[in-house]
Amino acid sequence: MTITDLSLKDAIAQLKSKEFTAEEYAQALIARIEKYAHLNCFIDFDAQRLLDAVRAINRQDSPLAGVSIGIKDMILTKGIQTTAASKILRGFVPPYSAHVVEQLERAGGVCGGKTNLDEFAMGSSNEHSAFGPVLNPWDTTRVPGGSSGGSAAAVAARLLPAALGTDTGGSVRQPAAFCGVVGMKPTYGRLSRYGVVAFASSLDQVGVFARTVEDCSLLYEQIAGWDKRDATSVQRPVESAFPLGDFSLSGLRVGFPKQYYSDGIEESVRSSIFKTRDALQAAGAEILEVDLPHTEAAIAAYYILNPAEAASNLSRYDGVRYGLSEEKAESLHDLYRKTRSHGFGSEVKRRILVGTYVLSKGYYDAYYRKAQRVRRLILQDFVSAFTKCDVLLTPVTPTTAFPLGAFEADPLTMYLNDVFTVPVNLAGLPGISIPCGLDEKQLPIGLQLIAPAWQEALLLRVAAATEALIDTEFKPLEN
Amino acid sequence: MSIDLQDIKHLFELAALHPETGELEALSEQLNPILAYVSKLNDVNTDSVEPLNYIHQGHAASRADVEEPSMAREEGLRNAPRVADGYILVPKVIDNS
Repeated sequence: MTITDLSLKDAIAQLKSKEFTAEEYAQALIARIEKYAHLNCFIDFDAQRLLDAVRAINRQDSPLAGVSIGIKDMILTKGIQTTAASKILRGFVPPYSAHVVEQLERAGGVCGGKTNLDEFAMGSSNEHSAFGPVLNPWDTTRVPGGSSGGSAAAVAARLLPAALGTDTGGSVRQPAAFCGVVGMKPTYGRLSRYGVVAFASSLDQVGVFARTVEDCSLLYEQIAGWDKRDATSVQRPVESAFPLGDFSLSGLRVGFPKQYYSDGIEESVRSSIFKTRDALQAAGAEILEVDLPHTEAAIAAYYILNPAEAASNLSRYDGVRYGLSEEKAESLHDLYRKTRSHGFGSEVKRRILVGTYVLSKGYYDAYYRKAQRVRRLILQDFVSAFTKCDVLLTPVTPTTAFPLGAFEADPLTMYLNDVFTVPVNLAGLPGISIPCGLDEKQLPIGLQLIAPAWQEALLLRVAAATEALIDTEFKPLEN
Repeated sequence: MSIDLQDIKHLFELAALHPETGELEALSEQLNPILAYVSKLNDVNTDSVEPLNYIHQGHAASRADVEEPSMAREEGLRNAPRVADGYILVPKVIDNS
């Protein structure tokens, strides 16, 4: 097996037993990254910088043993350009790193490169980057999903063993499904948002990509934990999900929410998930139908709250303290308007305008406050469902990866693809996407497991046990 | 609730954005379906439901009022487009005429 095929866990084990050095491992990743440069997974990748960092860290004794991990360019890395895939931050070099990056480095991990994304994490296809789209390694005429498309594609293509992303409405779970990798978003408050470019502050959460559930868990445990610099970071012990020990699916109550299995799902997605459900049942799990009655309102609530918070958060980009700054501004207001108009892409502007509208006088109660009330109803739906089951099993996306350009003229239909992922962010719950099959076009299908708040260990154990029941190999770019 | 070009122009001003040629019309075509869609929430009964603005309600983070080192000024200014004497420069705000 080539060393770039290794899981994170195996790479670390072999580094510790000196089968190869951290530098040799980095060299192998670099060669592969350069070979697949056309996938456009990276906004900022520097082979020399990576090798220097690996040599400097020199910590085979550490939990991550000098392994390179991808970091979505929405997460600040001290001394390394962070752009949020926007022209407005091109050339911005942060003077500090995000907490999760500090944790990663403390554990002996190295930043393998800044991965590409939809601008300011707004998108579900990675087509809205100022640095060009990312291509799906399974079929380069198709999208990898978004917004964390670069991280998902890089892990799927085995350019890196794992990567960090961010998930506000599905931006880790959906590209994980489209790329055939594991993608997890923990409970809101588990991973510090300090140093993560703010998009929608009540919804944003860092997430983890890997090729196995155990790898995902390994990385998550290293970066999780309370951070006093994030007021929404919660102090709770991080429970290790592995080793599984005598964890068994027998008697596990798996909820099947009926609103998530309506007509809009592609047949191959539906049958793949049903097949896994049947395997879970055969393994002793109890499958029961549950009701999440406000599911249909979730997208509408999300696309009010998310743009509103984004409009507020993105008001800081004004050409004054950092980033793009209009040269020919005739006044301060001119500086703001021209900088922002030239710096933001079309999707970002759309969201800022929607957000401005729903927060404006006369509309604030009808839209923003209304959406917050609906949000409470959605949360209550989940709390109620979890009195009857331990985890929920749902699709991640209604379809497999769609072609590039499919929704160019139709942003609303693109938003509707988020129907299964968005409720989880509204409720602040932990969710994970694992690959469960391939469709007739050999494109990956993902399934989602959702657990109650703070139950990441349960979520990961159930995900690992489910993963073990799936006998498909997910390996694009075989050569 | 549909919005016209005047409304969109006003939104641009509120958001400190400057529309390019044709942008107002293009956005009118895109924004109206989005706003129509999110107005679906009007069909949801939220009588006596409190708005949820923070998921983990009841958790109020505070810390001791203790001075801690912050960032060195040079570091903080390093990304600023125009700097002089430790200050960031912007176009003149006060009209002396």
